[in-house]
Amino acid sequence: MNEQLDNILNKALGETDKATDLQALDQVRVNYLGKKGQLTSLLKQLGKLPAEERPAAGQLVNEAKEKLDFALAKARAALKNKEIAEKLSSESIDVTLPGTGQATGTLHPVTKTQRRIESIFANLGFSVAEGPEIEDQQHNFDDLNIPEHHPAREMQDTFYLKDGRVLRTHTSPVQIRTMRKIAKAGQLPIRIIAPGRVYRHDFDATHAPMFNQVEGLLVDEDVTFSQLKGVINHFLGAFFESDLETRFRPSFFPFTEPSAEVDMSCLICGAKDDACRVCKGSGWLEVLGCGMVHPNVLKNVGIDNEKYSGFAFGVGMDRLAMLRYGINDLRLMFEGDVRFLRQF
Amino acid sequence: MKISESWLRELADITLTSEQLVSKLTMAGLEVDGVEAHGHDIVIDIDLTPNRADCISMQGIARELKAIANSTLKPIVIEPIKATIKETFPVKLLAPEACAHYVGRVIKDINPQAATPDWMVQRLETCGLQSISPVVDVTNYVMLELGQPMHAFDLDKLQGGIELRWANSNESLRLIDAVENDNTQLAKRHLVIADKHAALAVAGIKGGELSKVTDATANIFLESAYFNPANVAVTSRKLGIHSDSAYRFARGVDPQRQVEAIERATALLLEITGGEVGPVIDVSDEKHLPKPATISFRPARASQLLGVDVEEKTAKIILENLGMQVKVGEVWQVTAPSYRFDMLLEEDLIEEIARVIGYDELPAVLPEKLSLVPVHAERQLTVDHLRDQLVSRAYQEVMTYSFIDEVSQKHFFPEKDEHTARLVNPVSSEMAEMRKTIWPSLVKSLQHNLNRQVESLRIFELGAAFTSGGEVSVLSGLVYGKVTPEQWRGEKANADFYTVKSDLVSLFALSKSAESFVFRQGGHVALHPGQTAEICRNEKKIGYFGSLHPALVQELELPGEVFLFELEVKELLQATVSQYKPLSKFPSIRRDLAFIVDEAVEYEAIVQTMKSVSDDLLTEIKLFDVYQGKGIQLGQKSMAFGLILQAFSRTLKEKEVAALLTQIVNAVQDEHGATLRN
Repeated sequence: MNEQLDNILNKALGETDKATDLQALDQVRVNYLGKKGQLTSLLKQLGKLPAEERPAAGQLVNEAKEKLDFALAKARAALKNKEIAEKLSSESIDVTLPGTGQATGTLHPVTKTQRRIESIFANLGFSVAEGPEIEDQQHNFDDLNIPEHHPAREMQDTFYLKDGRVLRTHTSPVQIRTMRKIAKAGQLPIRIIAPGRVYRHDFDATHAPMFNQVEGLLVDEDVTFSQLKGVINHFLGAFFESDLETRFRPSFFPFTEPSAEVDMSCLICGAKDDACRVCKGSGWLEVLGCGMVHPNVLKNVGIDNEKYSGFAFGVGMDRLAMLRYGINDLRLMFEGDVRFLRQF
Repeated sequence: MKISESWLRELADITLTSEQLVSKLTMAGLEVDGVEAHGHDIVIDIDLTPNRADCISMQGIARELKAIANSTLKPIVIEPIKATIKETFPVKLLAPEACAHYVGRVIKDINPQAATPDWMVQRLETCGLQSISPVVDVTNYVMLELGQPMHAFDLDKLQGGIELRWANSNESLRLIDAVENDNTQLAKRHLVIADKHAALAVAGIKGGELSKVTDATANIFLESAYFNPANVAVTSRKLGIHSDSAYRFARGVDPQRQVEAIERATALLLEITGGEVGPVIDVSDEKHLPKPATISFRPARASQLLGVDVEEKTAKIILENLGMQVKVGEVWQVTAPSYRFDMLLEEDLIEEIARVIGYDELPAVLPEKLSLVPVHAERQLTVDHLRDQLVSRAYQEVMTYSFIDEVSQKHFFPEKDEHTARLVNPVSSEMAEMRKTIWPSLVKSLQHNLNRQVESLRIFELGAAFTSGGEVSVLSGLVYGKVTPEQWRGEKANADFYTVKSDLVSLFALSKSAESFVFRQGGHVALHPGQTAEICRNEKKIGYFGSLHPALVQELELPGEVFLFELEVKELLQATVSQYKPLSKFPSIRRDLAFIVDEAVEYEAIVQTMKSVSDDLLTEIKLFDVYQGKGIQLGQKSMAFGLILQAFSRTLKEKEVAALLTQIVNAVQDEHGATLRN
């Protein structure tokens, strides 16, 4: 029996070694360990042995079975690994080749700027208001306390249509419309920003006949100049992600009183470069205008000037985009040149 | 406005250094634009805001410094000059609403050859004016010094007396330095200074050539007047004459200082040209003279508006230093000085207090009250969603001018339309009309990029279309060239109608109700008639999409096909909140069918037919092939569909599947003359 066992086992092990694929290995398993397999049959013949020899013989057969099992498993694993290894080497690629398929586009720098501004003001509870680009003179001038003979109404500053309407020169008319609507519905306070395209008759290296503005408005009980300062400082610091300094200078706008122009510390040179091209060595960049809403304006929209006060500010979004992204020519914003636009 | 620092320091005791002075002025609202050395002097260029009429003079600035820097004033001593002759010249105010105060003086036997002294020439030049002749120089000097523009006439050229009147409609006047026959046409709303015969000058703006002082003039008539600012502003603009004199009168000259100015001018003239001085002629119309406002002021209101405690004592000192008369009480009565035209309301006083305290001294706080901005409705998309989706589909956002030229507009809207928004005063004829569609601007952008070696373009813009129905917010796009950028493998296919269509469908899908959007055969004058879709949502037309008309491609010299779309934004933003539909636990079955139909039969029509006979069992239709060519008759096409069938609550039986397929095949064959392809 032992000899028979050894022969079978050796033959099996030999075939295992020679097997070149998993199918062949499986065939070996079937031939020796399967239902009709040779080792299995040996086990069945144990009955022919004397009783006291059966346990020892049985153990030997089982040991042989185990050896074969083990060898088969090892061979199987080796074959699987070989298969993988071959796959690995034949499927190697140059990972530095470019990806294929579609590219992506980008948003216009003014859109990005507008979103940033909207987000900063949303956190302060301001919602976004919009309005028409062609306006009547009442909304663009009269309601804003800009009198008839004010230079801003001149042909050299404002675009006119034949019927007397104008292209809005600022987004303040949106504030007027919103204030009137909200005042009529008795739904103060008002916290809005009004972004959008505005138009001025001016076309040179630093001025375009169309540009983008955002104006802000807060009307409530007990709104103060200090709050205006606080909001402006917060806005500029958040927008530029910088601990910048600001200075408020008295100025004049027909629709605010007191009025101020706000400068911020020059981001480019940090007020340290006399030859800085951006701030011309002054260390300050003029960035926006603001003030307390003029009582005449509140009156024009039906808001009680004794009970309510408000502040308003206006800033050029193209200018902010140019400062933020280092763009030096306003005209690039509107040429539709994709080599420029895709940088943002 | 240019001022001389050394001159300023003569008018007030200024303890500040030059640098501090510049900073002080700027931070008080008189923004210094530039500082330049001029010989031994320094020229400070101040950018005055239009409300500060009182600062358009050396005296005005000195006055400011008293308020903002506590400088002591060193006022010029102006003594009335005693008349040495009795001569006067009658003055009549015939338009008192335009001129309510006119002061004049006759000065005879001057020496017109006298030379303007160097110190005066220096000061004129420092402030940007040229020396012309002694009389003119003196009037200019007093204008710079006191802010009162003056004029001098050659008395011998005047006849009868001075009248302040409106011009006649056919009147004209030869202005100073105009050549013969180059007269300026006047109109009824123009105020003139005239004698018995003719207009001599446009009041407050410019004098006449024939009555001006020359180096032969021996006798002069000096004028120092107050003119209504609004009038001067309008006339100056209408005539296009923006003189130094008009600049000051248009903003408002102190109506009470005309006599003082003429005395000052007289004194200077006597020093330079000598002469015999007549008495001061002072004519005014009280009714039309502006009176300084008396404003009710509540100090508490200043604290409230500024957000900082302003002590009454401080407020009073500031206002008084500014020349205001303050009567304290429960409500103060504050009277502005005659030279402050910008003091009308309580808020104007509050601004003065704030700027003298210094805006930078005021605190900066955030408003405390919280405000709830309503959360954006899920049922409403925002334009940001639309933009981001297109960006991820490789579109580049652009922003172009809202105005285009007439020709480009006509390419896309040839009909004559009185509602076209045309600008009366465009910056150029290229930018004279408000665009009714963004397409022409996108095509221009394409040309711009092609000229810069860009080979493919996918751009979009969100903006207003100025249609005859009003301003409509639209989303407009242009695709040209290859679908994908040039790369090392894969199809190098051109973009076409269908590749762009899938971009649009991805936009519609954002609404979670993509099926509400339908593409229908349509027509647009600017698009290829065989490749135009009208896009509708819930039966409403919301835009167009197609290939640029070949005639336009040719005319615009474009190198290939261009695809354009434009959709009304509002209609894109309506969305639905998703609702879960349970999934079937049972397997689906796929059966493929191919039909041969006439070319003209639309895909959508076949799909509708299939759906109409299938109820819920037909869960999906996949078109996987469209074929024309070998094996298919000319004029026909083959369309192959993969039909997915599934029952929600059971496995479909083969019998059912077969029956349904037969129904579908029959319906398609009957309705569209299709034949089943083997």
